[in-house]
Amino acid sequence: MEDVLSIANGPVMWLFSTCIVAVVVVQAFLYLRMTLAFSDRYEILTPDERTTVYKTAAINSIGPAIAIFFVAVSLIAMVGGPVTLMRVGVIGSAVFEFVAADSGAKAVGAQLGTDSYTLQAFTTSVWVMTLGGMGWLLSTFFLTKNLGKAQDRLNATNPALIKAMATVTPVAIFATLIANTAVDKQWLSNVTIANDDLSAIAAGAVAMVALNVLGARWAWLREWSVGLSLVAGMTAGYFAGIATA
Amino acid sequence: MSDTSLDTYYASRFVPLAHRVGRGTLLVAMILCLVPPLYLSLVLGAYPGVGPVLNGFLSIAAFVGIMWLIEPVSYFPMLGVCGSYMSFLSGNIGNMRVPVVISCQTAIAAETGSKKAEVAAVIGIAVSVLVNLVFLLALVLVGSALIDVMPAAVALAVKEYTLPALYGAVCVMFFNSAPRKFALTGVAVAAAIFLSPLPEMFGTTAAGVLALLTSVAVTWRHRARFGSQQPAGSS
Repeated sequence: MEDVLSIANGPVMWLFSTCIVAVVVVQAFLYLRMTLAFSDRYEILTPDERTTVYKTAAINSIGPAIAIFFVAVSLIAMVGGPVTLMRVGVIGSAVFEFVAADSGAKAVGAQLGTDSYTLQAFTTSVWVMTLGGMGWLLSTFFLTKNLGKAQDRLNATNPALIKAMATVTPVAIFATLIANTAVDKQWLSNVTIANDDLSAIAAGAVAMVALNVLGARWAWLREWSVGLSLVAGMTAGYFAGIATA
Repeated sequence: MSDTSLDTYYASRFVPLAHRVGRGTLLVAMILCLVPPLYLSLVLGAYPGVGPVLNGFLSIAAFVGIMWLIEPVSYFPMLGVCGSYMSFLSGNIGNMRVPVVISCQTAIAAETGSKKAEVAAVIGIAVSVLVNLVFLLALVLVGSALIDVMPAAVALAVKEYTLPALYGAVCVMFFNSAPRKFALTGVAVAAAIFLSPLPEMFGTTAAGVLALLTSVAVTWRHRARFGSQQPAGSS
């Protein structure tokens, strides 16, 4: 286990990790530059709106970043800093990489975080995380251009459909996430409702509704809406957890 | 300032460049991703053989394989061209990129699908990528000591309840930004998935597919009407 971590945290792995992170940062700057140029050329966002977007993005990224941070902490102890940074920080998602690392380890009969986690097991984990994450990159690489074309065609023939897809889909996806988070069930039997999770969801939602209303009066509240809703939700979840424990 | 109209510039310059940047960076990233496992396998000689790699891969492909195809499609209407390339490269889509995008669009009251919304999405995702990296760099440099200094109650609340709170808040934002009938359609889709016997892990993927199909169904009428009014419209 010690040997594995000294390689996993070694300079070579750090070099690879830095290169991958660099691609993500470069891409973000390229898109930012071309989009700002486009926006300035046609005055799409006013300077005020631009400032608002920067602030809103920065403030509202903090909550999710801390949540990712917590998953990363447990992964770092098992697969080291470089792999965690390049898989969880960029490319993958916090939850997926954990499962991938684990199934890689299990494939060679090892267990994450124990002495059975040899260099070979680590290598298998890295392969599974890499190949598993590759699926999203490949399909985005091949599909996005066609999706753009399809959207252009629909914009000409049926703009209402574009609007419907862009608004029905996120509501459906996030409402499903809510249901899955709050309720545990096998089809319609063995239904259990997690009161603490439900409280966190409800408080987050209610806070957002309230902030929307108040945001009409105090505009700066809109910039903080996600952050403040998270605080409300976490507080409610925590106390509901204590109350039901 | 310029004689090209916004839409012409967007279609003939902006979007093609966005695809070139996106595909180029994705290609480089895919190659770079293969370097660490190849190094461990070939240089350090720790290659476990095809069997274990395939076994591990198949056991996760069984539940994420369908997401590889569906997610880029179902998230595309929210993220747009640039946003899709950025989000799928930087990951953490549902738990970070999408929430940031919708909060930025809401903050400046940008209508879904407008150019304003698209610009806001790109700025939002770029900033969120940087913020996320700052946090993770702090983590790898300072280590878990950061968590040790947090009061236990705060650490617990953050760890357990950030995602539920985020889902609640983000769902409200999307619900409010959607036309009422589409918002209710979305809830109905989620209810249908919830009442179906599908296992939880396929829930959001199924919700994405069903939402796209339902969108086609509820706007089918408009398509016919539009077509009969302007028969030569798009061709």
